[in-house]
Amino acid sequence: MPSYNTIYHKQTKQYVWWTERDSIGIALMDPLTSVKNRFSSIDEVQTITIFYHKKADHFNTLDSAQSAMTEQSELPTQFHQYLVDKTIQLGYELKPDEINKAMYFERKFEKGIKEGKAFKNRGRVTGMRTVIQHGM
Amino acid sequence: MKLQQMIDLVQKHHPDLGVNEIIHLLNQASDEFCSRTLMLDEATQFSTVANQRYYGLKESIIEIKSVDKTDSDGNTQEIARLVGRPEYRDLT
Repeated sequence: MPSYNTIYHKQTKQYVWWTERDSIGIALMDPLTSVKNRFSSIDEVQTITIFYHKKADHFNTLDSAQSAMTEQSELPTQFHQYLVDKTIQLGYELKPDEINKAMYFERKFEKGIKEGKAFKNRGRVTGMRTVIQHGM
Repeated sequence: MKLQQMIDLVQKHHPDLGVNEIIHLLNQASDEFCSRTLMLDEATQFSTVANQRYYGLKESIIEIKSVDKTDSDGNTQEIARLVGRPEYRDLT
Protein backbone atom coordinates (compact mmCIF):
# COMPACT_ATOMS: atom_id res chain seq x y z
CA MET A 1 0.00 0.00 0.00
CA PRO A 2 1.72 3.25 -1.05
CA SER A 3 1.91 6.18 1.31
CA TYR A 4 -0.27 8.83 -0.31
CA ASN A 5 0.90 11.37 2.20
CA THR A 6 4.46 11.06 0.90
CA ILE A 7 3.30 11.19 -2.67
CA TYR A 8 1.27 14.30 -1.90
CA HIS A 9 4.25 16.15 -0.44
CA LYS A 10 6.85 15.05 -2.96
CA GLN A 11 4.84 15.22 -6.13
CA THR A 12 2.51 18.14 -5.75
CA LYS A 13 3.42 20.67 -3.10
CA GLN A 14 6.53 22.54 -4.19
CA TYR A 15 8.31 25.87 -4.07
CA VAL A 16 8.15 27.86 -7.28
CA TRP A 17 9.59 31.12 -8.58
CA TRP A 18 8.56 33.53 -11.30
CA THR A 19 9.38 37.09 -12.30
CA GLU A 20 7.04 40.04 -12.24
CA ARG A 21 7.54 43.83 -12.11
CA ASP A 22 11.37 43.56 -11.98
CA SER A 23 11.11 41.30 -8.95
CA ILE A 24 11.32 37.60 -8.27
CA GLY A 25 8.30 35.99 -6.64
CA ILE A 26 8.84 32.92 -4.47
CA ALA A 27 5.99 30.88 -3.00
CA LEU A 28 4.92 27.43 -1.94
CA MET A 29 2.44 26.06 -4.48
CA ASP A 30 -0.16 23.50 -3.52
CA PRO A 31 -2.21 22.59 -6.60
CA LEU A 32 -4.68 20.58 -4.53
CA THR A 33 -6.05 23.63 -2.73
CA SER A 34 -8.42 26.26 -4.13
CA VAL A 35 -7.08 28.68 -6.76
CA LYS A 36 -7.27 31.52 -4.26
CA ASN A 37 -5.10 29.75 -1.68
CA ARG A 38 -2.87 27.86 -4.06
CA PHE A 39 0.21 29.99 -3.40
CA SER A 40 1.52 30.89 0.04
CA SER A 41 4.57 33.01 0.83
CA ILE A 42 7.49 31.45 2.68
CA ASP A 43 6.82 31.92 6.40
CA GLU A 44 10.38 31.45 7.70
CA VAL A 45 13.85 32.76 6.94
CA GLN A 46 15.51 30.75 4.18
CA THR A 47 18.48 31.48 1.96
CA ILE A 48 17.74 31.97 -1.71
CA THR A 49 20.51 31.76 -4.30
CA ILE A 50 19.86 33.13 -7.77
CA PHE A 51 22.11 32.13 -10.67
CA TYR A 52 21.90 34.49 -13.63
CA HIS A 53 23.46 36.05 -16.70
CA LYS A 54 24.42 39.65 -16.09
CA LYS A 55 25.52 42.80 -17.80
CA ALA A 56 29.05 44.04 -17.10
CA ASP A 57 29.33 46.86 -14.59
CA HIS A 58 29.23 50.25 -16.29
CA PHE A 59 32.24 52.52 -16.52
CA ASN A 60 31.86 55.54 -14.28
CA THR A 61 31.51 58.88 -16.01
CA LEU A 62 33.73 61.81 -15.05
CA ASP A 63 31.02 63.36 -12.89
CA SER A 64 30.96 60.25 -10.68
CA ALA A 65 33.09 60.13 -7.53
CA GLN A 66 34.39 56.70 -8.50
CA SER A 67 35.55 57.71 -11.96
CA ALA A 68 38.97 56.40 -12.92
CA MET A 69 40.60 56.10 -16.30
CA THR A 70 42.25 52.86 -15.14
CA GLU A 71 38.91 51.02 -14.97
CA GLN A 72 38.58 47.87 -17.07
CA SER A 73 35.56 46.07 -18.44
CA GLU A 74 34.57 42.83 -16.71
CA LEU A 75 34.52 41.14 -20.10
CA PRO A 76 37.57 39.04 -21.04
CA THR A 77 40.27 41.30 -22.52
CA GLN A 78 40.11 39.78 -26.01
CA PHE A 79 36.63 41.34 -26.40
CA HIS A 80 37.49 44.88 -25.30
CA GLN A 81 38.38 45.98 -28.83
CA TYR A 82 34.85 45.06 -29.97
CA LEU A 83 33.40 47.53 -27.45
CA VAL A 84 35.62 50.20 -29.02
CA ASP A 85 34.44 49.15 -32.51
CA LYS A 86 30.79 49.45 -31.47
CA THR A 87 31.42 52.85 -29.92
CA ILE A 88 33.11 54.07 -33.12
CA GLN A 89 30.10 52.74 -35.07
CA LEU A 90 27.68 54.61 -32.81
CA GLY A 91 29.80 57.75 -33.21
CA TYR A 92 29.59 57.55 -37.01
CA GLU A 93 25.83 57.01 -36.79
CA LEU A 94 25.60 60.46 -35.20
CA LYS A 95 27.06 61.98 -38.39
CA PRO A 96 24.75 61.58 -41.42
CA ASP A 97 27.56 62.28 -43.94
CA GLU A 98 29.77 59.49 -42.53
CA ILE A 99 27.13 56.89 -41.83
CA ASN A 100 28.61 54.47 -44.39
CA LYS A 101 31.70 54.12 -42.17
CA ALA A 102 29.43 52.87 -39.39
CA MET A 103 28.69 49.70 -41.34
CA TYR A 104 32.36 48.67 -41.37
CA PHE A 105 32.58 48.90 -37.58
CA GLU A 106 29.20 47.25 -37.16
CA ARG A 107 30.55 44.22 -39.06
CA LYS A 108 33.55 44.11 -36.73
CA PHE A 109 31.26 44.20 -33.70
CA GLU A 110 29.07 41.44 -35.14
CA LYS A 111 32.22 39.32 -35.55
CA GLY A 112 32.90 39.95 -31.87
CA ILE A 113 29.38 38.81 -30.94
CA LYS A 114 29.94 35.59 -32.90
CA GLU A 115 33.28 34.98 -31.19
CA GLY A 116 31.76 35.85 -27.83
CA LYS A 117 28.97 33.30 -28.22
CA ALA A 118 31.50 30.63 -29.26
CA PHE A 119 33.68 31.50 -26.26
CA LYS A 120 30.67 31.25 -23.97
CA ASN A 121 29.55 27.91 -25.43
CA ARG A 122 33.00 26.38 -25.04
CA GLY A 123 32.88 27.26 -21.36
CA ARG A 124 36.67 27.71 -21.29
CA VAL A 125 37.06 23.96 -21.74
CA THR A 126 38.76 22.20 -24.62
CA GLY A 127 38.36 18.65 -25.93
CA MET A 128 35.54 16.32 -24.90
CA ARG A 129 32.84 17.71 -22.71
CA THR A 130 30.41 15.94 -20.42
CA VAL A 131 26.76 16.42 -21.23
CA ILE A 132 24.59 16.37 -18.12
CA GLN A 133 21.09 15.10 -18.69
CA HIS A 134 18.40 16.95 -16.79
CA GLY A 135 14.94 15.86 -15.76
CA MET A 136 15.78 12.17 -15.21
CA MET B 1 42.35 47.41 -22.06
CA LYS B 2 41.96 50.35 -19.69
CA LEU B 3 39.20 52.93 -20.10
CA GLN B 4 41.70 55.64 -21.07
CA GLN B 5 43.02 53.48 -23.94
CA MET B 6 39.49 52.81 -25.18
CA ILE B 7 38.68 56.52 -25.14
CA ASP B 8 41.91 57.32 -27.02
CA LEU B 9 41.05 54.77 -29.73
CA VAL B 10 37.54 56.18 -30.15
CA GLN B 11 38.82 59.76 -30.26
CA LYS B 12 41.12 58.89 -33.19
CA HIS B 13 37.89 58.55 -35.20
CA HIS B 14 35.75 61.01 -33.27
CA PRO B 15 37.91 63.81 -31.82
CA ASP B 16 34.77 65.91 -31.37
CA LEU B 17 33.15 63.48 -28.91
CA GLY B 18 33.50 64.31 -25.22
CA VAL B 19 34.86 61.81 -22.71
CA ASN B 20 31.53 61.38 -20.90
CA GLU B 21 29.74 60.87 -24.20
CA ILE B 22 32.24 58.15 -25.17
CA ILE B 23 31.84 56.47 -21.78
CA HIS B 24 28.05 56.40 -22.26
CA LEU B 25 28.51 54.83 -25.71
CA LEU B 26 31.00 52.28 -24.33
CA ASN B 27 28.46 51.31 -21.66
CA GLN B 28 25.79 50.97 -24.35
CA ALA B 29 28.13 48.73 -26.38
CA SER B 30 28.93 46.66 -23.29
CA ASP B 31 25.22 46.16 -22.49
CA GLU B 32 24.52 44.96 -26.02
CA PHE B 33 27.54 42.64 -26.03
CA CYS B 34 26.54 41.07 -22.70
CA SER B 35 22.85 40.74 -23.61
CA ARG B 36 23.58 39.03 -26.91
CA THR B 37 26.39 36.71 -25.82
CA LEU B 38 25.22 36.03 -22.23
CA MET B 39 28.92 35.82 -21.44
CA LEU B 40 28.91 36.89 -17.81
CA ASP B 41 27.43 34.68 -15.10
CA GLU B 42 26.97 35.50 -11.45
CA ALA B 43 25.14 34.26 -8.38
CA THR B 44 23.68 36.27 -5.54
CA GLN B 45 22.16 35.29 -2.20
CA PHE B 46 19.57 36.81 0.07
CA SER B 47 17.46 35.71 3.01
CA THR B 48 13.70 35.54 2.78
CA VAL B 49 11.50 37.62 5.05
CA ALA B 50 8.52 35.86 6.63
CA ASN B 51 5.41 36.27 4.45
CA GLN B 52 7.15 38.44 1.86
CA ARG B 53 6.55 37.17 -1.65
CA TYR B 54 8.52 39.53 -3.91
CA TYR B 55 12.19 40.49 -3.83
CA GLY B 56 13.66 43.14 -6.13
CA LEU B 57 16.09 42.13 -8.86
CA LYS B 58 19.29 44.01 -9.67
CA GLU B 59 19.19 46.05 -12.86
CA SER B 60 22.24 44.19 -14.21
CA ILE B 61 20.45 40.81 -14.33
CA ILE B 62 19.69 39.79 -17.93
CA GLU B 63 18.28 36.28 -17.43
CA ILE B 64 17.78 34.10 -14.39
CA LYS B 65 19.12 30.59 -15.01
CA SER B 66 18.07 28.85 -11.80
CA VAL B 67 17.07 29.44 -8.20
CA ASP B 68 18.06 27.41 -5.13
CA LYS B 69 16.56 27.44 -1.66
CA THR B 70 18.56 26.49 1.43
CA ASP B 71 16.71 25.80 4.67
CA SER B 72 18.01 26.34 8.21
CA ASP B 73 19.44 22.78 8.29
CA GLY B 74 21.58 23.52 5.24
CA ASN B 75 19.54 21.40 2.82
CA THR B 76 19.57 22.94 -0.63
CA GLN B 77 17.05 22.27 -3.36
CA GLU B 78 16.46 23.81 -6.74
CA ILE B 79 13.16 25.63 -7.02
CA ALA B 80 11.01 24.99 -10.08
CA ARG B 81 10.11 27.88 -12.35
CA LEU B 82 6.42 28.69 -12.54
CA VAL B 83 5.18 29.35 -16.04
CA GLY B 84 3.16 32.55 -15.89
CA ARG B 85 2.16 33.91 -12.50
CA PRO B 86 -0.36 33.10 -9.75
CA GLU B 87 -3.92 33.98 -10.74
CA TYR B 88 -4.51 35.75 -7.46
CA ARG B 89 -2.06 38.60 -6.97
CA ASP B 90 -0.32 39.20 -3.69
CA LEU B 91 1.72 42.39 -3.67
CA THR B 92 3.67 41.69 -0.46
